[in-house]
Amino acid sequence: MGRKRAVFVILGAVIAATVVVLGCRPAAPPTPTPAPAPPPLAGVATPTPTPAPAPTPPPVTVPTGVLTVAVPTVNVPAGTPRFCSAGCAENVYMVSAFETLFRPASGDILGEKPEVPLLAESWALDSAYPPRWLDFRLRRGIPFHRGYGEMTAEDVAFSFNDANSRTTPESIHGQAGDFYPLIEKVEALDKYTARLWYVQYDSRGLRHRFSLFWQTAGITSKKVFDELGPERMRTVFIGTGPFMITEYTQNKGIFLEAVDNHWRKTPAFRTVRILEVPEAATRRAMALTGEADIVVPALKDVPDLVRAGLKSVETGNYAQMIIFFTGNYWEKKHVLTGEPLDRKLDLTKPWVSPNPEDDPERAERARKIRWALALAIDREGLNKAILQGLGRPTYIGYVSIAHKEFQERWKVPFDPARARQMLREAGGWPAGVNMEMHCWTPAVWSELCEAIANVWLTELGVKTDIEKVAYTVYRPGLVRRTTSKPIIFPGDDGHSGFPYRWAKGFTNSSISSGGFGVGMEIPKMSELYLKTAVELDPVKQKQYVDEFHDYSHYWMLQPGTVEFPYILVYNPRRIASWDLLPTTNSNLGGLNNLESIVPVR
Amino acid sequence: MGRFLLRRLGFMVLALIGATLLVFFVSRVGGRDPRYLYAQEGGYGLSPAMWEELGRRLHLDKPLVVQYLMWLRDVARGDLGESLTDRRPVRDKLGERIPNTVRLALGAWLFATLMGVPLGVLSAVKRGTIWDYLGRAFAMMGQAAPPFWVGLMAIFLFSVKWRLLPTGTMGEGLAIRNYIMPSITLGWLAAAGYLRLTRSAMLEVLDAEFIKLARAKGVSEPLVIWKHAFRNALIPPLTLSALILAGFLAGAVVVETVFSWPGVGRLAYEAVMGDDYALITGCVLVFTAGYLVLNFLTDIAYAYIDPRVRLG
Repeated sequence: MGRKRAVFVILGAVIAATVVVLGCRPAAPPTPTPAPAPPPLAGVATPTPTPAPAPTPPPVTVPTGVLTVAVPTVNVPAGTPRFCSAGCAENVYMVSAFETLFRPASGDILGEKPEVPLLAESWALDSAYPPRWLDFRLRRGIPFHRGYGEMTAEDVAFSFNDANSRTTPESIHGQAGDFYPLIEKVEALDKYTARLWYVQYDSRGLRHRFSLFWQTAGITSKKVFDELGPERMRTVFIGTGPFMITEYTQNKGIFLEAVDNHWRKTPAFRTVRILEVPEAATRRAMALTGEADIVVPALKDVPDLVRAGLKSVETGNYAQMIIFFTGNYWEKKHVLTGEPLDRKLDLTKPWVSPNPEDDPERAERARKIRWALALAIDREGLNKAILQGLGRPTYIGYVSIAHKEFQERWKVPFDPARARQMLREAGGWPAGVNMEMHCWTPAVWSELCEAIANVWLTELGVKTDIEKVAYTVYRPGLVRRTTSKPIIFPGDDGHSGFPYRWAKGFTNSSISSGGFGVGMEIPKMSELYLKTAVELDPVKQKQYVDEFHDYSHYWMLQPGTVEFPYILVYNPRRIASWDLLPTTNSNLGGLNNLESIVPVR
Repeated sequence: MGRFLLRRLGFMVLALIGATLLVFFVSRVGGRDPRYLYAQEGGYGLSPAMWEELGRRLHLDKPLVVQYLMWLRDVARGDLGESLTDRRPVRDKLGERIPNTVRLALGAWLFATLMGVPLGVLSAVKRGTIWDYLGRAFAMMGQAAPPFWVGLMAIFLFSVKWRLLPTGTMGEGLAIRNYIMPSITLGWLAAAGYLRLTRSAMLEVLDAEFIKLARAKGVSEPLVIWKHAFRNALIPPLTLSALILAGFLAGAVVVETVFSWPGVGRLAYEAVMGDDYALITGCVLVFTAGYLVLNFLTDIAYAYIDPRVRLG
């Protein structure tokens, strides 16, 4: 009897303890190393005249209220550039906590206007051909958050060099491998001039690697690094933007506080909470209930949310779902260094061939196999059935029908009869071999994969093995140039927002070897990339890009399927206007320029 | 009793060592260099210097047994290595998440216990009545409905339709309203299990001779049920209780995803998806240790209730 009483006592104690634990407040979130309170910043910013239009001095604004945003993921945070991996690297400036050297002009998705100087006020390019360096003249008097002093060229040099795996080999920064083949180093020439030394000049210029239009380095304080070192800097986010990061926690969110009297634009909202809400149905519910003011919705939810009274806003970019027929490593020597490349060709895969110069017959068979598969993709059907008609068809990688330079000859019709004919001409699909495709985890991508595979099966009798493991598991094969399993995704260049005349083929070439590639190394594409990248004449750039697409179309190495927009929705009862800048960056759904939001008061 | 406890403790330690052996040797099977598991492709991958450094850290120059012992020593010191995604200590990352998951698990456990056990008693006492059928229907629904569906339906009804509860996220501080839907979603399946187990245990006890005797002596019905029958029917649900709690700690990933809960389940899921081997290892060890400790506590409680356990 006594024992049973003891059990009841234990049970009671457990329940009481439960209540107590539930009642405990959560541990305080990790806070950055205490820093002196920021001094009043009024009148600090005195931007010098610039060759491009500069932001006008802000009117006096007193930030109030809370803005809540629901996004699918906030990625893994790190204040130290070298630890700030993909997602983190872009988020810090997409949320306006860090700033970039330049940014796109409002509404200029086609890149017709010059980039707007932000932390840089002007730039100068080496007059040699090809240019060896690019100088950034920086604005004076831009203060870092929390009293970390004025931003100088040393900070710009640090932000790029600590991220670049050429200068910091252990860097896992989101652009570590993108900077490597492009940037030798950045150095401070004087307090307000930073010089970037090119490894290989790229005419895509400011918009490509130095603006929030695509992927760049947000500028952070070297002083923090000097004081804390790389490890302790992880949790400290010091930028110059209109918002300060007060907390950034993986799987939880990014929490921001407005900077009073910001040099460029003082935000209207005092606090911004960017919450990670991975489930699309939950984000939709948060939009409908008003718990979130801005939501990154699943594409299929957009029509319903708009019907419910929310407003949609687009970044202007469409991401292209391209099928890269990986395994075609045709280059024998590194294009730049001349070092021999020891790539293994898996010739059991019918879409793979050696360099056409070495085995034209086999190359022709593989080309027809790829064409057969490309002709058996019902692009209009995919757009209608899976993208609710919000997307549009795309025919070959890196060029959109939205580009005014798009040529009708690059269209690939849905023609199963011709596809079967091509397959016959190629000698038929080999017995015992299945088509393969890696599909990323976002639901809509998987649906696209399955729909395409089903048509290949019904129209061509080709069975497809779909791999749905995480991209991070697949990616090493792209980096090492060993994979021959095709993948469907935009790659680096599959964005309708990328200007047509931008150099194409960097990731289809051994030039990017050691970093990200799209599973093929094609000599002609390398040649055209190099020609375009160093070309300063836009007319010639266009000619080279035309030639690239003609080549790509003929060999059908990267057929397109559909392209879809990045759409955000916001609550018009809370937000009166928002100048979402054009961007091809998909992190946080393309969210940016939060300081431009005008609330309904 | 002392010997029994020592024996159980010994088993627990052995099981824990077994788990560490499994975790360690999985990374070494096939003769593949374990650095490939640790080496995340970031930018241009690992430099030769980093490769060497990783080799030193993993003690790859030592025999396998020595490697294991050194790794075990590190684990015992709480050094679980660094996450590959951001190079932060795994211990720190787990430390941030475990309290969130524990709070959710305790909420779900409370709900499951407070719903399942009384309903099980009611269902047994009112056998064959509408109460019994309602209770069994509750159990059947709980066991049939997958948590992600329950969670989404709860959001649709209680947040979107009726605007009674917040949609998702943990909220600031102790926001009790934010705990209601996740706790119920996570706990419903377990409540159904409790209900069925309690009901069958109660039915068995209610048919026992000593219950008939108590009734014949004129003991009031509530006293018969709660003092005589329930206390004797408690052993199976009590055993289940700790296992349920351990399951909640390790397996809340779906509920954590639907309700945007930054817990250890989602951390483990993302570690698997991201091939973050060091973090996966840390999560597995924590889950295993949690499960074994709760199992051990159950054994102790069980031994208190039933002498046959400790004497057998």
